[in-house]
Amino acid sequence: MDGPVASQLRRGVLEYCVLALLRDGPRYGVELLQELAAVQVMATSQGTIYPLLSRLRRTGLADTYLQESASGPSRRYYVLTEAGRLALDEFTGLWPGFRTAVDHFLSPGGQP
Amino acid sequence: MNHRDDHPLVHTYLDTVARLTAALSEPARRDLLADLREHIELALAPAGPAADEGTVRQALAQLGQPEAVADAALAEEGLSRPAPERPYRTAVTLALLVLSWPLALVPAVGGALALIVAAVALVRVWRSARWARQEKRRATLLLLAPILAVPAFAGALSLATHGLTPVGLLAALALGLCLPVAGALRLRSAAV
Repeated sequence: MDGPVASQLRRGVLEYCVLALLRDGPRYGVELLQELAAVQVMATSQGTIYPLLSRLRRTGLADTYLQESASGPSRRYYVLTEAGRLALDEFTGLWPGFRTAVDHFLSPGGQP
Repeated sequence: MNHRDDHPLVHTYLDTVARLTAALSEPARRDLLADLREHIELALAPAGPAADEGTVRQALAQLGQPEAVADAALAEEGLSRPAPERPYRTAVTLALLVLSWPLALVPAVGGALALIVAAVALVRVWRSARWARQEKRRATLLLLAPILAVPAFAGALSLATHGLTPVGLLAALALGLCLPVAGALRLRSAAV
């Protein structure tokens, strides 16, 4: 179901998908996971995304804060940092060319 | 790392992730476990402290298999899950743990032999991927405990019986040597 090809592809792009989800403002962690895990290609399960979130925090691409919730425990929100925004911009700039290049090699009858 | 009021299923889940990620750096591992715990607490919050087993199972299933979570965490640091240790290797490690101090009774070379075997056993425990650091620390303490425990037991017995008898000394030794055995048994049941 989820082979080495899928996981290798994911490793390259998942963090930018997370950064993209944060582009328009802070997101509640669980909501972030649900959106990513809902797209099968991006994650095998919600728990597998935490190590990535933790790395984004440690490398300063994202930040978190706790916010009191009226019902139940406080919620952890993720927010994009300036460094995160720059990384996302760079990825966004590179991606179309990258996608076209891969399609170019994959399409039948593509250039030899 | 585990809270006392955890549901047993949650306890087992977090413990398994902890053991499988023994190779991670300590901050990364702590972060991961804290994140997972927070997630579980949030998922179970609506059900309250008396969440039934079905709800707990569902929350854990959503997180994914502990193996999958551990693999993702190890991959972040460029590591992969080590192949499981062969059972006979674990058995030898545990046997060395149990045998180390009693070997001190061998005439002449006993003391040195005991120290060497104890050291070898500890190295094998710490190099093994079967146990989390916490388990390894506990086993180390239990292995070293007789150094303090045997004199303490002997002292207590000699006070109780007004002077140390050979029987008292043997009893103190036997009591003290139960500690490494307890350590080995704990490791055996905690092995992944």
